[in-house]
Amino acid sequence: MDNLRLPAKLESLETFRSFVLQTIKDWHITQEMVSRIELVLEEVLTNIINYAYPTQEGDVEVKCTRLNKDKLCFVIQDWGHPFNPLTENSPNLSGDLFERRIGGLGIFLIRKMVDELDYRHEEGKNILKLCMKIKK
Amino acid sequence: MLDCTITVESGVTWINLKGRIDSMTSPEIQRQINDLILGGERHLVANLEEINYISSAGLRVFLGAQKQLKKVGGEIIFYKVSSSIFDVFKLGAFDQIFRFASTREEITGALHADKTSFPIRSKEVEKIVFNYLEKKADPGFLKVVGSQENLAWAKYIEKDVVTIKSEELQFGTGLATLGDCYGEYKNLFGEAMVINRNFFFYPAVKRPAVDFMLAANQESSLEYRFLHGFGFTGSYKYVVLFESTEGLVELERLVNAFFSISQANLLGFVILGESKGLWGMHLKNSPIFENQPKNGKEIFDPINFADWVNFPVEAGDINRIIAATGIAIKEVSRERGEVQSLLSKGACFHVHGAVFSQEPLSKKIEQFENELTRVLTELEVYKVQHILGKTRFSSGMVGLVELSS
Repeated sequence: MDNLRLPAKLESLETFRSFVLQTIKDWHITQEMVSRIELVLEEVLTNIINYAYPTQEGDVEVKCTRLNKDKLCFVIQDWGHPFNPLTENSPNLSGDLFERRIGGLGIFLIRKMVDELDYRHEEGKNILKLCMKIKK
Repeated sequence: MLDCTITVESGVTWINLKGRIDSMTSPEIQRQINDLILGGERHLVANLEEINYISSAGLRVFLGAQKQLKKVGGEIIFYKVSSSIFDVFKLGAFDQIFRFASTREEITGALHADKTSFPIRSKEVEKIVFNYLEKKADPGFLKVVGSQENLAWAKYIEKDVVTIKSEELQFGTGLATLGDCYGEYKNLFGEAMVINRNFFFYPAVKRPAVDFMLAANQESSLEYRFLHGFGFTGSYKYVVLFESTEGLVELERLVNAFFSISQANLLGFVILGESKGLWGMHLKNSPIFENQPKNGKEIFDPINFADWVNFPVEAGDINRIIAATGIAIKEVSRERGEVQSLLSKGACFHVHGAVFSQEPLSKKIEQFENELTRVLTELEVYKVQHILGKTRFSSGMVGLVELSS
């Protein structure tokens, strides 16, 4: 089993997290890298949970695979509102405290932490593929 | 997944966090931080020693807290942030808007550099305990504005209006309004109060609502229109925390006790306290010539009183926050006539105050000015009134400005 589909709700986060931790547990990844993987997963999922289904309920599916030895890839898909994180503007990080916006930070962190990011919208699905090099 | 405990160590409030700060747990942290800020805390230390994970949800909570705290001269400082957590702060360029400490000495150093420490003195007078700071301050000045002599007969006319520029008025009270043209503002005079250049007034109309101009929003000089009142400038010579040892403190007893702290004969003061029963009054009509009572009697005459004055029949606004300012005189006869005329017969003080929403207030003297700014600029304001001596408080803070006679 390398994929899991659950309702797009905050309560599902913990199950997704355990699922990913279980999947990668024998891959000998440093604790620091595991935290980064968790962070990317949470940021992508909370974005979908908060914005993909503004009016109805829906699901989100996470696939976690190891592509050759040192690369981990997630494919995360939902059936909600089309949303391309790659076209989002980066938040203003140079401004002083009061100019800092509270939104957009999650996507910014994702883009900083993954090595490959690929988005497509197909058959009513948002399909986001993210790959991270797992340094030993 | 997250433990959050609050501890206080030598006057500094610590939020000790243990576990993960993520989308699930950050609302709880947000709630705790909000409670602390509402409770008047201004300097917080977030202990992240036992945090091994933080997501943007957590960063957002801290960013929001820092914005709230910085506005009132406070700060949240992080203690013992691990390198992997610090990396996340750095990715979002959050390392530039927060301070980080890895020892307790650094925390103490960081917080004390911001505070000038004065020894706190204590005194008990008339069953009120005062803890206060004495500062170096030259005497300030009192300015009498307009005259009250047309009030009782409601016969003010356009030429009685005194225009005062906002930058000339640091503290003050009176019957005032805003506006450019007499014809437009003449019916909008009402009880007014100025604290640190923040102007509040309560127009004497049928269904009044407080109008205000905050100092921070005044891009250019504003002009206030006064029928009468007074203003004073100066710095606080004393910042006082008062608490009753027995029951509640009436305003009159409190103000009289100021003279056992200060030797001055004439004091300007600002009170910030929680009402335990407000006795306040305000005019219901603008006392201008056009509105003069037809029966030829004074507006304070029993025949006209109810139509003209909103006078309390019982204490109100219990637990709401009151910010008030005024003057008090020890020996009235020693002051010049126009100053004496500012007080009602037999009274030794004249105070106007604004009523704000119900919220916890800080009791830290060092934070008096920040707390005052927070109340004036952030809380909902309901009315501005002339405040009577039997108004009661349980505790509160006062800034005293000595005024030269």
